[in-house]
Parts: sequence; structure tokens; C-alpha cells
Amino acid sequence: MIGDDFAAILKAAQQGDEAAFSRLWHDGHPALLRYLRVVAPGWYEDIAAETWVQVVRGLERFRGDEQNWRAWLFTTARRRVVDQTRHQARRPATSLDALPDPTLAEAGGMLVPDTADVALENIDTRAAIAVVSRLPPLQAEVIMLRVVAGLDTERVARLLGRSPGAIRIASHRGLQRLEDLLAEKGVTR
Amino acid sequence: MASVLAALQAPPADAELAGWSHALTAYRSRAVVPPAPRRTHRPFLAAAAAVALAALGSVTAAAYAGGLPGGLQNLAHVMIAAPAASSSRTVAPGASGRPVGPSGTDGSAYAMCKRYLYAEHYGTASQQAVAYRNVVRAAGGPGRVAAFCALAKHPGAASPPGRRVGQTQPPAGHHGKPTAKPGNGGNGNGGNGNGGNNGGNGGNNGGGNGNGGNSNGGGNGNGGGNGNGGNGNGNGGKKL
Repeated sequence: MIGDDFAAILKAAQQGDEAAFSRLWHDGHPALLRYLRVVAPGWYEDIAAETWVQVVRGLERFRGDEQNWRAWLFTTARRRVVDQTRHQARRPATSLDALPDPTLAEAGGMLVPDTADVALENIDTRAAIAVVSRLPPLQAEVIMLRVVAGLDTERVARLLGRSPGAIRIASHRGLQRLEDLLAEKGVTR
Repeated sequence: MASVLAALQAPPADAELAGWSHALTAYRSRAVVPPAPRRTHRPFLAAAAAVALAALGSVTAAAYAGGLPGGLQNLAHVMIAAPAASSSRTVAPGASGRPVGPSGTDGSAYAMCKRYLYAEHYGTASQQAVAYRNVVRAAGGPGRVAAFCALAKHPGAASPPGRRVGQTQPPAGHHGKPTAKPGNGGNGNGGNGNGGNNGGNGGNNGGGNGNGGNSNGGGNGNGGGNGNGGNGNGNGGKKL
């Protein structure tokens, strides 16, 4: 998160200041990647790159605070995931390891792996993502949007087209299930 | 649990920052205001194109309809589907009435020349270099570019009599040209949306390569060959 400087940095970036844009990008991109690694594991790099291209194009027209900004960033990314999902569902897979299983796309329109290799001995970012990826799609996505994207419940609700209550429930259940997964692997912290 | 949540928010690893050059390129390529026509030391074509565009300036439509001296009119005809000098009252053979812009994967001479023209006036230095290289290669040499482009046939409808040619847009793929991994197929992809033959944004607003109608102008050529390119952003267009 950028915090108090956000308004000034946004304005500068809109006016062509590369350093300001760099702040925005460096602040947002890792979070974006991590979110996409959960919801679109086979495509996260490409979708992240395309997201920024789209954001850059709309940059001058963006108005809002940092929460709005993050919401826009992740909404843009999510739309591309949905497009990608639809696109993949229509085409036969040409390479088994390049493309995700089309049937997974039917599970709520997201590309979530059904198994994850988890190395819980060393909890690091990759492993944390792998664990979250084992949650049901909605819970996984809610957790990533709340924790990694830093969006509040209202915004997550809007982004996912659900009620805030549903988001709170998914968040609660997701965290609960995370606890269970970690407990079953012997991680207590 | 706390460690999982903390790990999710840990500082970025180097690999997570690898996409920066791509994003910076996109940022640098974005069109904020149309830049002034660039002077280059390129041969006849650039000079003629510059004259043509300068003559047309920012005036819309009517200026295109046969108002230029013959040679330049033909150049404008080739470049931006203005009516040909010799047949300003006729529709070119093969016209379908449907506005067609050069698609990104269309290697036709027309598309290439058009991209060159726009790169000369609106592109970055590297875009100019690429477009110039392509057109020189296709033409068979720098001295042949002018003739090559003058002869390049418009692939679709020329402007029917009396219709505004109006807005044309640079091949949208030029904005945000990717240099890093994901988009290397993408530069040309997305030239659709050139509404050169009517007053509006043209038929292919969604970008030509199978990307479902990105009216927000997203999409960049996806090198994976899924045809995810295309740029239908109306803001990407420049009125001439």
C-alpha cells in the first residue's frame, strides 16, 4: 500500500512521471501476481501484463483513492481471467501442460488447481499461495482479495457480484479451513 | 495461520518484479496527446506523408475527398483510405461497404504502409524503426518504399462517394507495444478498429483477433497464439 502519498503519486503518474508510475506498479504488481496465481495459475504472468497495459490506457481517466485504485486494478485483472476462461473453454486444449483443464473453468468460472504441492515445512509466499489454492474457489479468491489486494469487504463484494454478508462468510470459512489445513499438516502457528 | 497470512503479504521476490520493463514500455507508449509530426531522414514516403498529413491537419472528412493534388491524393488513398484521386466518385472494386482496417496479422502491403505512416507520426522511435524495417523489406529496398506503398491496394472498402472518411486511428497495436515475454505477438494484433471508411469507430471495434470485445481497450498481443490481442479503445484513435 502506498498510503498518504497516493493522491500525489497518482496525479504525477497520470501526467507522465515514470517514477510515480513505477511506485504504482511496484506496489501493485506483486499483489496482482499472487492473486492471479490463485485464480488463474496457468496464466498469471500474461494476465498481469495485460492488466497493466489496460490500466495504463485508462490511467488518465481514473479518479479515486487508493482503495478505488486497487479495486480497479483487480477488477481489470479479474475480467481478463474471466475472458481467458471463456476463451479456453471454447477451444480444445492444444498442449496438455500449457492449458488448464477446461472443466475446471466451469467451477465458478475460475482456473483453480485441484491439487497443490505444498511444502509446509517452510512457509513462504509460494507455499502460502499453494495452501490458499486448496480452498474452494470463492474462499480462496476472497482471502486473496482481502489479504493480498487489501480490499475491504464492500469492494470485494462488488467485485465478485455478491453481498457483503456472503463475502464475510466466505472469508470466515476460508480462514477456518486454512487453519484446518495447516493443523492437519502439523503447523500450529 | 499468522505465518500464512504474513507470507501472503511478504515483500516481493525478484521474480515478481520481472514484468517491469513490459509495463514501463506500455506506459511510455501510451498516447496522451498526439505528438507533432516527426521529422526523419527517411525517403520520399515520409516527406510525402508528412505533407499529406500536414495538409489535412486536424480537419476532418471533407479535406480527404479528392482535395489533394493527384500524387498525394493517391498516397492518402493508400494510407488512409481516402478516395483515390482518379476515381473520386467511384467505389473501388471489391468494396464491401464494410469498413475494414488492417488487421494485425495482415501482412499486406497496405497494412504495412499504413503502419509505417502512423509510426512516423505517432510512434516511438522503436516503433518507427520496426515499421520502417518491415516496409523496406517488403518493398525490396529503401528507394522502393514510395512506389511500393503507392501501389498497395486497400484491402477493403474505399470511401463511397460523398461519405466522410473522417476518423482514422493508428493501428491500435502500436500502443503499449510489448517488449517482454507475454506480448511479442501483439504489436500488430489489434489493428482492427480503424474506422477509416465511415465517420465512426469502424466495424471492428473489439479488436480483431478473437478477443471478446474489449471496449476498454485492453488486450495486448498474447504471444501464446490465443489471439488475445486487439484494442478497441476509442481513445486510442486520433482524428486527423
